[in-house]
Amino acid sequence: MLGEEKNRIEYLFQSVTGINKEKCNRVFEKYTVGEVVENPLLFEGTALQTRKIELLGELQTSIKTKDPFWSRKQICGPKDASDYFESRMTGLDHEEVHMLLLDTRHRVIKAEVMAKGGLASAGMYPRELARTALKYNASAVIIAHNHPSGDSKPSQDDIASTKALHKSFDMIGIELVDHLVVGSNNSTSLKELGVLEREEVYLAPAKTTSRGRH
Amino acid sequence: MNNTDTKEVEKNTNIIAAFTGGDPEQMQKDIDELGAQDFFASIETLAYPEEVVQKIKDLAEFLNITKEPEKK
Repeated sequence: MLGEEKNRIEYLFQSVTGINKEKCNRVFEKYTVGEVVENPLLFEGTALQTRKIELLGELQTSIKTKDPFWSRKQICGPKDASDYFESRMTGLDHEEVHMLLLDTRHRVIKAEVMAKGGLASAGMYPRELARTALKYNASAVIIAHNHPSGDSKPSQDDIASTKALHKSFDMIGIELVDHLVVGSNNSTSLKELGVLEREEVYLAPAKTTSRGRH
Repeated sequence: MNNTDTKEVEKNTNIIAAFTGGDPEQMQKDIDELGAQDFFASIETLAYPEEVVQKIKDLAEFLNITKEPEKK
């Protein structure tokens, strides 16, 4: 393991457990973080410290054993997308632009707040959106912005910017699956309105029952 | 999700809340709605205090859940 990576993992261990740095440093001169998490008694800490390390180990085990807890949500249609965004954006008193980054099976990789604006508007810059999608190696994206007025009807600008974004993403091989406008009680899918002309589609739910990490 | 799964979700959520200082009830609600992977993936869009968000990001990185892309 490279020194920088080792230091990072040791830092994260210390940050997450809240155990003091000096104690951690002493232990990690003798053992790796992996060894300590596997066998918390090596840490020779207090009962509370030992318990914390045990719990960290339990979380790691639940990931390794593909516990259903760690299943990833798949966005299969405008309803899934609107549920996702409405829970975050409804009721905001200013405009925000969010982007959901998806893998090839339209499972969520990450959600990002791309812009925050004033009462009326937030910038939606294709260059920034594309850069973020490429950074996370997304195969597809869904964009949403809210209207603080509560009216989810897309403006002419929304329609024009969606068409422009569609072209930009198309050029770099990333699907713009949908663009949602979130209002106070509902949201409008520009995909459903026919603004996205090409064949970008929501995927049907995966048939596999496996719910672990991939 | 069966009863065993539900208990497992509650247990893991409580562990995450204990490590990060987040409100366990709110976390339970968010994780029920999103699943844990998406909870971690979208933490910056959820309404948690900044220090809780940072702890959650550290925990996610430690567990290798939502690894940040390598800097080039």
